[in-house]
Amino acid sequence: MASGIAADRMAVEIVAHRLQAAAEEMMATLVRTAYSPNIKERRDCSVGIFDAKGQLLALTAIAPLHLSSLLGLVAHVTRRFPLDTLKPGDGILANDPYHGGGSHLPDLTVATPVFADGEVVAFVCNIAHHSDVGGRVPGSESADCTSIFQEGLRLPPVRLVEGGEVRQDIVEIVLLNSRTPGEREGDLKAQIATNATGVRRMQELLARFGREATLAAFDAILAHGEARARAAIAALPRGSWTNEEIIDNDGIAAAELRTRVTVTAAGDTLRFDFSGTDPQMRGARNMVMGATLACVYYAVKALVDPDLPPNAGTFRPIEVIAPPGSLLNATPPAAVGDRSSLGNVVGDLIFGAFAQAVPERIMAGCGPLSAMTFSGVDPRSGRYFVDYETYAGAAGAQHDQDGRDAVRVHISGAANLPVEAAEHEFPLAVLRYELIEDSGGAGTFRGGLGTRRDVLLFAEEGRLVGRALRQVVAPRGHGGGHDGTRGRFVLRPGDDTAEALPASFSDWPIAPGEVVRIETSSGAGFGDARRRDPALVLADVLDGKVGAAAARELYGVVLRDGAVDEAATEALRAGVRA
Amino acid sequence: MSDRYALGVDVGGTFTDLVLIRLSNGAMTTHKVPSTPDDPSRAMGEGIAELLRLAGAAAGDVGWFGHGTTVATNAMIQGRTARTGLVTTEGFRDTLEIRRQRQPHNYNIRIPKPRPPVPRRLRFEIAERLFLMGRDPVAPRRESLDPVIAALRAAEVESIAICFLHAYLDPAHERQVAAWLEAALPGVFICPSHEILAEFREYERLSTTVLNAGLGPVMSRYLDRLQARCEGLGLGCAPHILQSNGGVASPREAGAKPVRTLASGPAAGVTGAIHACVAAGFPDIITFDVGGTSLDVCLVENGQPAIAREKEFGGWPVRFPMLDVHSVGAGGGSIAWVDAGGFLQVGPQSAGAHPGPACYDRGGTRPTVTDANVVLGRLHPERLLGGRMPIRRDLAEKAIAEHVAQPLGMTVEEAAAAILTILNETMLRAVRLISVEQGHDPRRFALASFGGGGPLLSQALAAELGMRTVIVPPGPGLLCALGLLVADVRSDFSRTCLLPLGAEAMPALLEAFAALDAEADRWQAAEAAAGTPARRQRALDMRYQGQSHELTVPVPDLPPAQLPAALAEAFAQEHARVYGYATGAAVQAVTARLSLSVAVARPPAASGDAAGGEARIGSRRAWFAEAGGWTDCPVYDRARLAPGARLSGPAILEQMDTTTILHPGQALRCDAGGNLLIAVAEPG
Repeated sequence: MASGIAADRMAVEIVAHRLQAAAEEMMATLVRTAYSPNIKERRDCSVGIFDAKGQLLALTAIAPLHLSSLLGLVAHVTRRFPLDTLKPGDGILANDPYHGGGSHLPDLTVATPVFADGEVVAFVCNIAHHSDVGGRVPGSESADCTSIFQEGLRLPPVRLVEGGEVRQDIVEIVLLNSRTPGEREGDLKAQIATNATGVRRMQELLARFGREATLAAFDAILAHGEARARAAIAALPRGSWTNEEIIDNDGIAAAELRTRVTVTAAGDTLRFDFSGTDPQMRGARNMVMGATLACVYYAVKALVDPDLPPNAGTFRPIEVIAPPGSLLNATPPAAVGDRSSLGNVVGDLIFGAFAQAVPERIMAGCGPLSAMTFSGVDPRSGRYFVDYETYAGAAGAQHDQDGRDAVRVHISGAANLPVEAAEHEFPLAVLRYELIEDSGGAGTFRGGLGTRRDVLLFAEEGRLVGRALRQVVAPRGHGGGHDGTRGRFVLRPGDDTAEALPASFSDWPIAPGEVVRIETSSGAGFGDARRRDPALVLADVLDGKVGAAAARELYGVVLRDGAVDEAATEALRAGVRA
Repeated sequence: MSDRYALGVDVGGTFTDLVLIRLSNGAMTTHKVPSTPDDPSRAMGEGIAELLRLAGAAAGDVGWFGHGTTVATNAMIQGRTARTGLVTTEGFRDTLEIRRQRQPHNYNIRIPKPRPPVPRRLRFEIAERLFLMGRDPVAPRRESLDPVIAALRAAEVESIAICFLHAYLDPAHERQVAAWLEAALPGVFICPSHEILAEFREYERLSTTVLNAGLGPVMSRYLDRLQARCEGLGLGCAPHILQSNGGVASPREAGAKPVRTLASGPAAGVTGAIHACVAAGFPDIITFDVGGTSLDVCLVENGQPAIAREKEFGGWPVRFPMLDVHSVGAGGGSIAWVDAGGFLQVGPQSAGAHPGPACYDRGGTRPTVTDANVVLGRLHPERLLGGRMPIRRDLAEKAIAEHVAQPLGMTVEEAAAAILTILNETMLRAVRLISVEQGHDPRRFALASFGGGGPLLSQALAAELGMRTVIVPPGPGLLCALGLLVADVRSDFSRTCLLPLGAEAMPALLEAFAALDAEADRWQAAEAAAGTPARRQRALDMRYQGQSHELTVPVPDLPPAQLPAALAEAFAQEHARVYGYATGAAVQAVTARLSLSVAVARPPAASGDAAGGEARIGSRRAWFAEAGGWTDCPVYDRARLAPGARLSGPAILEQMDTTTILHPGQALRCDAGGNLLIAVAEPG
């Protein structure tokens, strides 16, 4: 006969599996029923299930940064609508980073309470990145906004659904504020349907195990996450490590803004203290606290244990301090639309601190993405078009492997658009899309190569919007490894009239037949380049990833007739060391 | 008809399963021999000779030979593909490495990107380009190939992939360069992308083409050896090779397009299960195939398996229609462990065949799903595989006690039951993924349970999902080999057109289908005997303008004038079914498709005649939570269960290659074809 203890224990684990399954099914519903390509195909959306106190129980996230728009949601919802004022069939919509638990305005969140015996016992929530919520620029996301009031519609928690009925007055407010209202309505409906699926699954769970056992299981699931996180953190060396990274552009012009973190591992807890970080910037690359938390939780998973369950229990042993009004804990009316650019550098900031304790777990500095938006009139149809694209940088090297060439890094994860698809869709031709030779930071292990893309635009009234970080300050090498290279934007490359573009700009004109080049930054190296296995240097030279000159000058490797000249290499390397 | 036979041979990593069916009466002879991975054709040749002897059949009377092989899959896994070069458009030699710019994993930064199948030094650019607007095309020039040819020759490549931007629209440049390369490098396998996949999206087309190029020489060498053995045996026909789409192809076709066999492993079981279940009156099934390390599930509606358009192999996308079989790491060898937070986890690590479960006594000390089944009395406590393999229950108990029961404070039985409970949750998610999450209600489907571990585990799962019936066909090994015998000869053709759907674009769309028909005509002339009935299915991938992924809709047989409206309507309906809504937005025709199937001579349904003797062969103690723990449970020899026989649970049915569990409260009936039909009760 099964003992009570064994049965209770298994009930907890079944609840844990069913919560995750419910979150996955909600995600599938959202992607399947959404209207806009950004949600349907790029899957720019996530799902979270919370207990009544707002503690995260289960998460399905495509990009780690999405957590930033979910973490504070329930607290804001219940501040505006205390639990005893919520009714079955309610659904709450919000997006404001300062009053609605969001992290930038395009992320619209919907939270729906789950009831048992007349009381709220949980919330099922989802976030979807809507491609336009009004504001100064199409897409509601521009690095050069200087106030959140320029960034679009701000929603505190409002009842979108009441007693199971969608409130059309609220929907109309969203539609009226968007440049693409048709998509918005379809996406909001998908978000509502998604939570209805979640509520159904939660009620099945409550019916099967009963309210008490289900709520007890919630607590046990959080305790499990906490125990796993504490065990993993306890295995880290104890100590305190400080690191700084410079933000080289404030969205409007070149700048030199400092971010700083001190990570302290004491027993089974971790503290991240961002004191010393500069005040919030004038442009739109600030992060609210939720976004900073999402970056920290990403880094803990990546550096401590990628399999840690994503729930509030796991987060308990992690303390985060960021000065209010700083780049990493922005206060109104700071603009926050382009928070993801900063977030990628915060990844390097935290990894750099851990590098002092567990160098075998980190990546050296990474090349973040660069973004460019092309707009104008398509001469084939006479129609106005907007093509928003992001280009991968590359990962930093690790202690035992080269950095990955041409990938998105840290908290961002979206895919590119195929060249053949882009050329059908928009009046442009891509003339090259390639790795940049010699761009990876040299090291015992080499940083990943960044990418170069040349785009020929045929549009009339063509305009460019560009945004990038790391066009001034390169990703930093580790342990003697060289820095990565900086990215750049060039108009008319290879021509006498070639013109370097700034790292952040909007509304830059481009004439039909002109070419713009995007070069992303690359990954930094790990360890002394002159200790790199000459066979790996040779392979890189044969593959054209490293030039023969760099092989000799940076790596101290002499090649002759397609092979390593071992004697000459040894002599060269010895001479340099001496 | 005289004594004609059909032969099916399924080569697995460990065993080669063979089945011979006499077409006049469906009489079946089966055989199993150890595989010879260094040259799989050796075990096959010997096995076929023995099988023919067992059946008393003459080699010359074998009129059909269906063969499932993992030669391509293994070459990929083991990195034994041919040395391959690539010739591509100037500016784009790094498409293979840039990929879709995603990280391999969101959080695990230790996972490297997969190594490109063609290294950068063997990827060559030539001046060549098609523009969609604004500029004239740039034709390739012979001189520009000179240094490329010299380098490819010096590198001693065995195969060359050619992939130019927009070659799906106009293959002339690829054709020209292929001709030049063939002339300059005789004997090298040349693979132009438009012949492998005439669809847009350059990275996916390139990846598919490059993998095909690397596999071609490997597959051709294998097929040459195999055909020599068949001729040596005097077989009356050539082998037909199973592809990932569930159909078979000639050796010539399989050698030219080996990439199409990469996912054929699980396809044989699905094809066999469809054949068995449709014959038993169940056209709507979910297949549930549990092996030692993985669970494979596939949804089948009205006898038609779900089709996937793209899958990844070793991190590389391959695009073309394949059976949509979803695999998770959950099987008999899955290891149970307690994590640092005190939760029980099962898998994804597997003990595999070596060292195997603890009870195998081959040095494995960690508890597996098989050990849990032994401890609970569901598997025979002393021997498996029809008595061929002795096992030790005490070792299973010890492993579970040490690694699960003690850390969790449970009895050994509770711990064993807990292992099955957690495994069941993983399996539930796999089945929900292909059903609920795609808009299908699993309660409308029967669960077709096979593989060595399926019938042990499927009944608890079906009950949890509210599925009413589990079908256990006669034998797992038999089912795969049977699938090989009944699979149609099939090929799929496609061509991206990217046209607005409407009257104006109809001539171009019809032209695309006419081109596919011409291609299919050539294929049919080469692959099928003249006069064999063939079925052509036309379909069209469509999307709303501005979307970036498509839905496939069958093209109705209508006059051209009526097609645009009918297609738009069919697309709207499919969009509403899959995504829950349809709009009035403009529709774009993206890719024209044609699939061609030629049916093979199907054997009559096998009779489910029982072997003689009393079916009940004993009883043993088995543990069921729903029975309150240990209970005395009758044990039956499945081979002796006669059609029409009925049993009620708890009961255990043993056969050579699997064990079927009937839980308390469940009822079983053996149908005329020898299938076990289990009526599953709702969860308590």
